[in-house]
Amino acid sequence: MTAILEIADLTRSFGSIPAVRGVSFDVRRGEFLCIIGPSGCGKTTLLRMIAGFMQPTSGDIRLDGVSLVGEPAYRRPINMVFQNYALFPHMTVGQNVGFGMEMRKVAAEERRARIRKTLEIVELAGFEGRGVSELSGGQQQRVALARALVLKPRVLLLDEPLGALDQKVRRRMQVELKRIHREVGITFIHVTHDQEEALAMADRIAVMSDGRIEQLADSLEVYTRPTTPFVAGFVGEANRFAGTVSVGATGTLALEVGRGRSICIPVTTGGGAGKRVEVFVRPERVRLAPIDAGDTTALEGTVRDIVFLGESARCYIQLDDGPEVMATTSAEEMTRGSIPPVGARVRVGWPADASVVFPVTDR
Amino acid sequence: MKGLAASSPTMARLMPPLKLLPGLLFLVVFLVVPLGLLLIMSFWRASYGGVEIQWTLANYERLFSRPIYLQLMLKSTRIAFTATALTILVAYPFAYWVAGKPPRRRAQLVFLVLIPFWTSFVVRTFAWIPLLGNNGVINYLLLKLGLIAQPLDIFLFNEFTVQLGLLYVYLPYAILPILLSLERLDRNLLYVAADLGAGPLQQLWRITLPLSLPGILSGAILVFILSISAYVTPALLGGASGVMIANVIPDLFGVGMNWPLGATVSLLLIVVTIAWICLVGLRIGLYRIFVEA
Repeated sequence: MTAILEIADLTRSFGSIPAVRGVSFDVRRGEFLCIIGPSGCGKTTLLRMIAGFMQPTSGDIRLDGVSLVGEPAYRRPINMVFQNYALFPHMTVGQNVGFGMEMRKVAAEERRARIRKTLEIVELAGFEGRGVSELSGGQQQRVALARALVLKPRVLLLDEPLGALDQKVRRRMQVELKRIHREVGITFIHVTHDQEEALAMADRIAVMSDGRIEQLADSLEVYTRPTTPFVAGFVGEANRFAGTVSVGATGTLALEVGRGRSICIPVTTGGGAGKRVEVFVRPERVRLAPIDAGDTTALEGTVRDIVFLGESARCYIQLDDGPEVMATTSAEEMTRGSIPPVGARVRVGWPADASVVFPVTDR
Repeated sequence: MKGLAASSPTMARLMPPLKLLPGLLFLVVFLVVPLGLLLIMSFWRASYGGVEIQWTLANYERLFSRPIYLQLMLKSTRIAFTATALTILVAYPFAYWVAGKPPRRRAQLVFLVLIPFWTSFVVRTFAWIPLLGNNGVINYLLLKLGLIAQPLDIFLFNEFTVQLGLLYVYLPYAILPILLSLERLDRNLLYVAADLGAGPLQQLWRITLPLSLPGILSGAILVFILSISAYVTPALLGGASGVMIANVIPDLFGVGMNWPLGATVSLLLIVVTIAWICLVGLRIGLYRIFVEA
């Protein structure tokens, strides 16, 4: 795996406000990289610098070892798919897709052949003569994709390309994009604020916050082993417990969560007594059971609410000694009736390795 | 109940025309009646100093047999065309420049464009005479600079002066619709074009210009209509060689005392103007030009 794109200490400020602060990472040849983060985290600024619409304040962007800094967008072998598709309204589908090749003075015959082939890839074969206003949102997105892909860019940038589509079409396009990525073998850098979309599509995910990259790793690793509290909270749903460690017994962590109350949490690694920590637990790892007499170690609480989500259900349990806990259960469990009803007293627990513990650092 | 149910659809059918009544009334009073009078009069006979109510085609015979009217019509069309083209050539770059400014600055610039409207059209046109005349500012400067020995009389009282005058007074009519269509242009399209390899010139030529075409055309049509029927500008700045068709119409009604012929020449002007609009409208679509822009 060699790097196709190297981002080195890249910074961009607007006036005195930094949007991207000293970001460095490599993009591997042929990978599907997702950059995610809340709005305002600098992900779009980063993408625009790679595309060439914006020049960095400092730092370097190297494509196959050659610096791109100072090169205008129209001279970079990198193409971008825009959030709102931005198809040329005065051109047909074929003219839209052919525009880039026209600019590069590709012969008309080759142009036609490549337009046809690319439209086939995005499953719009025969749409050359259509006007863009006749197309549905999903079809317009495919045209926008074809328009960029047809130029065989070395890196394809996607700026929230599915943001304007409705849920169903969006899901289908996620699968489609993955298939197209495999088919064309081009490096994709996809920016989104939707962590679910990133988990669904990416080989690797870069989580950005406040102009910095918090974690860059395989999707599974980002989800299961977040390296910062921000990543744990942003990617996927998580229960968060914060407090001071009171007893560091093996296998459990007694956490004072305020007002003299403490809860006992199963952990693999702990902190010393007196340390302030944050613990994150995924709701799908949380198990619920009816209370047995004589059970003393586990957490106990009352079911407050059950939200049915179709394929799963989410239970909200108010712990006796502390905060509320979310637990996700499958619809199957629900139909079997193995979920305690609202108001029931339950025991709450999870495997020790489900607890991700971060020491709280004073900033 | 039955009677009511039966009458309400009838009412519904009657309602739309009732709602349209004020508009229709306006059109009848200010458009149909005057034009109808003009049309009827064009078929009457002119008598010495008056009008005889007697049907005749003599006015049309005269319109087509005397070369003066058709020649003047042709010349007016030519002047209007050139003036329109020049106006667009000046208006487009200006509108393009304004469209690139932040909203506050844009509002200020549009305000500046509209300032000339505060003074009389005639005064604004008249202001060119002391600029371009024999003893005018330009000649004075050229003489002082020693570039010429005698004042030049090429600046005033010719076709070009008329075109310049028309450009000057009608420029805002072209700037505003062009600016509107440029403001509506999605900036992302230019980013996309750049991303696909289009340099600044190609972006202008392939994206900006075609997408602001409705604005250009509606501006052009406005300027053309105003120019082809221009009266004040050729009267003040045109001299003998800059006469346009609208200048002879008042003469026919006034000094010439030939109202029927005046009506006929007026109709010629109206028909030619409408024909041009229809021609452009057929190619582009009037809706696109007037509603979208």
